[in-house]
Amino acid sequence: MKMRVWGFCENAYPEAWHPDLKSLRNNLPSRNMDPVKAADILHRHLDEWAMLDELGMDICINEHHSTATCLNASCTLPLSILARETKKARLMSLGIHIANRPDPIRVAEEVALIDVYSRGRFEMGFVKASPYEVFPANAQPVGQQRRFLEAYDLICKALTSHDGPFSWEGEFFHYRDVNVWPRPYQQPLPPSWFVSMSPNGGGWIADRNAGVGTFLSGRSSKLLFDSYRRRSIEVGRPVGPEKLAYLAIVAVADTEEKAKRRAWEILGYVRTSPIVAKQFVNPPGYVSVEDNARALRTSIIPGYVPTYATMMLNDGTRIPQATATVDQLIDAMAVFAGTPDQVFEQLKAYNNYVGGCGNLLMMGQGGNLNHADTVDNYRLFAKYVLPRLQDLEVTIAHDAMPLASAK
Amino acid sequence: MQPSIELMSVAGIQTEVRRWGEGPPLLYLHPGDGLAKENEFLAALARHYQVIAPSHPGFGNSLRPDDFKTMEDLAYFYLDFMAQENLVGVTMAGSSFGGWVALEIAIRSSARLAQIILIDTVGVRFSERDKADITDVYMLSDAEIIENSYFDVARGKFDIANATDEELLIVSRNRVALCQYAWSPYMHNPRMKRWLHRVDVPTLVLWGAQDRIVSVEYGQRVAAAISDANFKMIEEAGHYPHIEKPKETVDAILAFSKNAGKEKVSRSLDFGTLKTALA
Repeated sequence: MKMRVWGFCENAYPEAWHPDLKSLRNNLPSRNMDPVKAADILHRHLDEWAMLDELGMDICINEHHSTATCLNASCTLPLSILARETKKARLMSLGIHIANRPDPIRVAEEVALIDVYSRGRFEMGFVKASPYEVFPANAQPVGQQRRFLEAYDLICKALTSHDGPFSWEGEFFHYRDVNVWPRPYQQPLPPSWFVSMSPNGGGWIADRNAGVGTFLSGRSSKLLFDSYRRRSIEVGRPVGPEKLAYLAIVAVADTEEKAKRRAWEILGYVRTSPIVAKQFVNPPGYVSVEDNARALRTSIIPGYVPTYATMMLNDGTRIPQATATVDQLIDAMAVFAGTPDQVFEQLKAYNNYVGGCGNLLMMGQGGNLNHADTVDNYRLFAKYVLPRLQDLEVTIAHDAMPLASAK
Repeated sequence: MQPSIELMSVAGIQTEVRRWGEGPPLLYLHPGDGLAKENEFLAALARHYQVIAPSHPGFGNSLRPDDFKTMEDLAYFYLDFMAQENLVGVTMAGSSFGGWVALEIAIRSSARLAQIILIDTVGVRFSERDKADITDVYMLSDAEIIENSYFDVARGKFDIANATDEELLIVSRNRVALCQYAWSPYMHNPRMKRWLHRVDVPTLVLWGAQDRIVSVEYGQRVAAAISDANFKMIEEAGHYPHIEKPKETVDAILAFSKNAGKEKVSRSLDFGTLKTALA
């Protein structure tokens, strides 16, 4: 099995992470950011991404809004810069918030344009987005999944229709003249990716023949991948590991100790990402009425940590993600850190556990990890780990996927 | 006094309706929290009226189909409901979001209405575009919402520990339904002011003096925009004066109804004819 590796980072603004802040998202005034420093940060990350192209890696970019944890308010803008600056890397948006964008045809135009700029290296990932994103987007949270799917269907039809305008009168979107120029470079259209954080979330993604990505899910990513593989077999399109993607924190160094220090810096992301004022965490309709009622019940239990904010260790116990140590998160398969040999062994173990995952979204920078350490991290990974992922033997495959297809 | 509760079908939608008392009909339109804390108020009104309090589709045990999404849907739903019940000479009372529902109904048809009671209503917009008329509860924590909504904060507390599973489900359903109707444009219809002249029955605008969701000034502007409206403040009350000061609120409604009596006689004669025609 070949494992593609995509470099990823959030373009954080750690200077604004004051320890006494209650919310790093939505209501943190932008006065807390110096645009000159922001320019340095954004250019630094563009440089690091451009370097990945030379190292034989691919590039994955996400977006968040109104936050000190991620300055990328659009993933398509930096990807369009990189479409020109890079030569070989595949470029993935993971993803565009299509349920929160009022104009899916504008999204179709942007992705087609990046695909043409890059001469066919674009992969279009779409996400429902974190719950707090509906506030800056002013997007109706109720019925968001239906709007997401309608936007996706419309984008796909817009990218694959080449015989003149069509009209669209949907539940959420209305157009009289859909006729996207330029049409995408890849035919019939660039590969699609969705994200799920739910152990049973693979079905609707397999139904649409899109790849499935998941972030820092550790062992529960296996359950998601199982549900995806099962459904892909049911609908007669059995898939291999190339349709699965896992985002994890990866830190390589010449010593284990140094690598773990790097991982700890990158984990600044995990420690700050959940710092959001409570009213933004669970907008109405984001979870089911039943789940919301259960969440109300547990909201008055002191120190209660919901399952989604915990990770399962090898021994089956669960720990809160936000306060976990590097060693615990390595055990939980959310972090791969150590010498190149150690990281390779950790990745091999992860692949055996989940039955083969063909795409590693490598969070090689996060928090306060500086440029020199980031470059060293990626270079060591590309030189000593990446070559060994080109023909990785997966010894344990889930019964839903024949072992042969994992090779 | 406890209400009778029934599930009925209105416009093909399962609708939960509470009823108290006998007399001329009073249709109560609940606020965005659902029918939660106004039992004392409605029971007092029921000594003078036949009080009818449905849960809006999506709230309580009333269902909301996926394609039922707007204030327009709610307005036509209630016009259907009043027709189905053959109600005429209706006193229509709405609190907060329910006041907005009342306005959406009244600008479409006031044929079945005798008078309107708006309690700290929302639904209209007056200020310039970069100033919010209505405090955005979606930007506030639960504690901040209660602080802004109640004069006596203790009255606003929701006791999760002692709530039943069914009550927690209803709270969750209500929150989804309100968001569907009122998320954006937030708690108002940008075109409402354009049509307020169609509210052509006597209207009482009641306001909690310490309301910090919508100000007293906002309430006065609502009253000024309706041709036949009185404005009355309830002291030591926030956004829900009928919950915090039920007696004073009921007294204000009864006094208004009595003073509006002369006009009501002529209107109710009209409605007598109408009722015969509709029956």
